[in-house]
Amino acid sequence: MAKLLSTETKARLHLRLAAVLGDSSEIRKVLPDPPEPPKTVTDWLARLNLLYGVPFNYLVPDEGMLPPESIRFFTLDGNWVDAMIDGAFSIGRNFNATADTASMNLDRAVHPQLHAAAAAGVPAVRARMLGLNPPPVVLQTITGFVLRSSVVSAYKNLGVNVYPFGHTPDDPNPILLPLLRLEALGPQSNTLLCLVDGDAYRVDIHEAPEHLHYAIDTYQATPLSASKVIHDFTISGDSVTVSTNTQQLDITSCLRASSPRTLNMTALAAQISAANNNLPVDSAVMGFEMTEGVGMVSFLNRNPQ
Amino acid sequence: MRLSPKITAAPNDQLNELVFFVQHQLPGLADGTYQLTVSQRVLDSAGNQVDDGSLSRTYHFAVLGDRFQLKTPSTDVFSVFPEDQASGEFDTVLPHVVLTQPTFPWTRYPTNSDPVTALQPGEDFDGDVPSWLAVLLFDEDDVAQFPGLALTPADRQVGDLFPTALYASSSLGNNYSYFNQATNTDLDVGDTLDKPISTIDIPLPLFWQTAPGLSDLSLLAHIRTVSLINKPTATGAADPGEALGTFSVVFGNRLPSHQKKAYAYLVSLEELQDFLPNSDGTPPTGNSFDPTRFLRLAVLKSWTFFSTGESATFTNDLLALNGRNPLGNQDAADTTLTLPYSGSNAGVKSALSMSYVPLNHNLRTGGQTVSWYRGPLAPYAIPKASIAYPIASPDQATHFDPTTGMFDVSYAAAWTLGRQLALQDTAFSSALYVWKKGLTQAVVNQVENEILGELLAPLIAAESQPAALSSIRKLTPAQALVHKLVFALQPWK
Repeated sequence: MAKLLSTETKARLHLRLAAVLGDSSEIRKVLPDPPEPPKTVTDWLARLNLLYGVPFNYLVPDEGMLPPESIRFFTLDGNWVDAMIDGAFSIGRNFNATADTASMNLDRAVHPQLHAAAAAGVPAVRARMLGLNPPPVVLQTITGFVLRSSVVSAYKNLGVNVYPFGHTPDDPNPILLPLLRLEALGPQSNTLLCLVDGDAYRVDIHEAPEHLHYAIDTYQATPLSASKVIHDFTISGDSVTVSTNTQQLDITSCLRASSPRTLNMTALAAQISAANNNLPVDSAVMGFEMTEGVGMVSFLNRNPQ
Repeated sequence: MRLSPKITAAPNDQLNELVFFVQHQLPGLADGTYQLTVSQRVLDSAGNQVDDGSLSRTYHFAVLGDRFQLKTPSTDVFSVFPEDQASGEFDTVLPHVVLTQPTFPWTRYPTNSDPVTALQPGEDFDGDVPSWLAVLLFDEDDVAQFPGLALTPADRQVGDLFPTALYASSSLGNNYSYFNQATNTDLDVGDTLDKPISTIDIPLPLFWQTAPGLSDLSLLAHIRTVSLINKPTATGAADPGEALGTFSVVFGNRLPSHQKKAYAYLVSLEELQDFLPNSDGTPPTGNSFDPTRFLRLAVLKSWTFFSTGESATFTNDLLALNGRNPLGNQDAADTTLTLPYSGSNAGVKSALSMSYVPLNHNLRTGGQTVSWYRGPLAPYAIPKASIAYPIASPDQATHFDPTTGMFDVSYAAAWTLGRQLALQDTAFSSALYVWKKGLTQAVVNQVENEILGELLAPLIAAESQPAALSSIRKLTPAQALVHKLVFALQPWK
């Protein structure tokens, strides 16, 4: 047994360790399935992949690039993100000019594993906030836009739909690209950052349905007249079906005589009911009859790849 | 709460653009104080009461809710339309308030008693329930007609809503308010007479002309349930969050005046049934109120906007982005994150068009230079770089461009930022450190075992493997040896 503890054995151990730690492929051979990185680490790196925590001046280094009331489209530079992820991963590494230290080789050996685990967490970041299952993602190309506008703070719940080339709603088979991040950069911020999985060709930005307002279609003070286009609807059981058929109602008689800009809602409801075979009109029916359509603007890439 | 008709405005599930309009969402209990009494009667077998009637307990509780002011206006009010200080073409729109609490418009009632009736046999749905909240709209024209009207809400106290007879320091005078019929100054639990509130005094004739009638109030509030799948997530959202949002919306019934500043108010009409006009705007039938007096209302939220001829809609704002003429047909310009450049240097022009910006760079040697930096939001797809990570220092990610004589420090800056962010977050950095330490330990253990295995090979190979151990795939040399020794010595014999 003495031989086990001999100087010779120690030297042999040192030599072997040096050989293994000096080559990342040797480390991988010795450690074919290394312990899983902790969830704290992979979740944090997943968020870093989506630029969480990155100061705004790193994203937009000069204000002139994103003046007020502007929108800018981009493709996420994977190299930049890779460099940042490696920077985060580098803590505990010997800061050294040579690339062949033991800590470097260890990092090199597990780098692919850590990268994959962090990427796997990416679709869950937004899905968690919505209480949904993570969408299937590819993460080959990440594109998106920054929008700096009063629209962001005024319409907090504006909706964003992003489509790839050849799969817009005008094409036979529309595909929505999964949103990876869609957030105003702060509670009262007027800047919105959007990241999607895939190559964005068309970006639709539309008003939130909860923000739809009540409106009539025309109003004229002298001579007094007002009109409203309403949709036909039918009721069966507990569901109301809205038809695409519309009719224009002259609602001048629904304006109060004592205050011509004030609507007699009860009379208006009766008129809508009369125009729909006297079906009952409650506040929910009023809701869809009185709301204006969703405002939407589509941005298209003129040079799709 | 009734299961109301769910109305689908945009029936396109795939595009996640769904909205359900729901009549109302009634609270389980309206705001107020409640008394709950539980009693028991005990009878003997002959049916005679044997208890003395004292088997009874009484409990008091209160359902609290905002009454004369919103305690947290920034979270209670999700949005208003038209937005505060907005100007644009609003001549045909009715202003509204979106509230985050779905039940809020029905936590109290404008009627003298609870208007909610139980579902009758044969009825599928209950009727509309009037909201106690209303959006009123006034402007300078109303002031011209009724000089006593002040458009800016006054800062007062809850006590100012009581008649002077009940509360001596009230400023109400002989005007009307919520407590016209009250006999005392009792308030909800938690409310006090000196709480600050905003109020507006409305001449009764103006109130009758413009306020909604009771049947109108049923039609001026509803619930919207919307999908949040394609919406921005809020900073600090719940974890896990919700994919559906439910909002209540309260509408006004009056159109803004053209070219006038409009003042909108979300007011409480709690138990003001006797004051409400008929829905055609005539004074309440058979009322004996003095029309020269004012009605004082609590203002829960007020804002102003300006209705001009120019369109200021959502779409218009978006079409005007990047300095584009919203009415024109031309494409939007400057759609990438680049700095405008009007100079003639071709190198600089090309670098700027690739999203680079020149930044001051303090060299490690102490000198200073100007280097190029580009953020992660590039104007086009960047090919995969040849850098093999991990790198030992940011210098390995710095590129020197011989044509401009400048460094490209983009990736070096990204690397350094990642390192800083990691060090800032102790939860992350300590977890990463512990994991890395575990990796090193695992490598060392593995190598040690290999060497032990080589040194002890003759011993381990001496006898055959005990059958009990054959199922264990990975056996360290030390383990194998101990088991063999035990097997050979058989101390149990």
